[in-house]
Amino acid sequence: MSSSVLFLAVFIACAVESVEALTIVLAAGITRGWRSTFQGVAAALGTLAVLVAVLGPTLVHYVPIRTLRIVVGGLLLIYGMQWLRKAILRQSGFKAMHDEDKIFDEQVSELSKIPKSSGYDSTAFTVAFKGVFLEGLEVVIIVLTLGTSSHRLGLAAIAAGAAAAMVIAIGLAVSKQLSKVPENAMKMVVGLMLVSFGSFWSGEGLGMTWPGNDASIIWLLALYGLATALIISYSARLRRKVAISGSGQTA
Amino acid sequence: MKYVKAFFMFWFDFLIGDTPEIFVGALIVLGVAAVAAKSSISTELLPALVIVTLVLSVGWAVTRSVLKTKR
Repeated sequence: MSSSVLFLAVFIACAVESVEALTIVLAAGITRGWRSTFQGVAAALGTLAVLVAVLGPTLVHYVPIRTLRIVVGGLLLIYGMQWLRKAILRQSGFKAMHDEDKIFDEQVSELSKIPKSSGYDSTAFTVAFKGVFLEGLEVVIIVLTLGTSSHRLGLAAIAAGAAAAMVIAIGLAVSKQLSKVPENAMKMVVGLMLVSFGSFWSGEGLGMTWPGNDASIIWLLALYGLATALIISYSARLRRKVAISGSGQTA
Repeated sequence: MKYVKAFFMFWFDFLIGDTPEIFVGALIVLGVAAVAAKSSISTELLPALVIVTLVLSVGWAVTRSVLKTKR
């Protein structure tokens, strides 16, 4: 059961980051040409694959499992709470939603100003490399942390690869950035999963015995989901109240 | 030197960034959970502390936003 939750967590996290990377790659490809852009994407994907291949087995073989689970659990707790906080603030209206159309327009406008060179275009290469590498690095951390703690690194890597392939295929088929993807809802689901796995593994590493063992990830998910819904409901009500009192003051 | 600095900056941004309260909160969660690991309430205590950290972090951001709007 925890295998499917793990697969889903990595798949959605990677899909979210791939949507963001795709926006940058499309902006570079359309304005600067595709050859150097694809070279940048390939170089970034290669570097990320090497990172997973080298760091994954090293962590599994040389770090004691209890230490690994405490460290990984802590990392997942921090990262998961950061994602969850951002998604809650966006959902309740306290933070602007992530707008892929706006980001795409800004990237295109910036890249169009830089003079093009014939043949190899270092701007396209660098923009595509940085976009894919930086978004991918977050995925690598999720793959390594979730994969190594559960000894399912292969499954986590397959989930990430499948999500990236799906987003790339859809992006190429429609030839535009995927602004209709419910990114905030996906980010919230991933945040909930990361916090649940983080709680479970840090607890295991510290010597706790979770009721129901692996199955406790499900009740942790439900508990954090309920807490998140309540926080959003309260924050959204507060946001409306502030908006009404603000408009009353100006009137 | 540039790469060493970039490496540490990446981890600083990744772990702390603009939400130091989450980093501190996670350390407190782990510290308290370590002390209470063998007690019967440890599995309720850990998620409760995580929720408290999240509420405080969101509450802090909301308060700042409301104060900014009122100014």
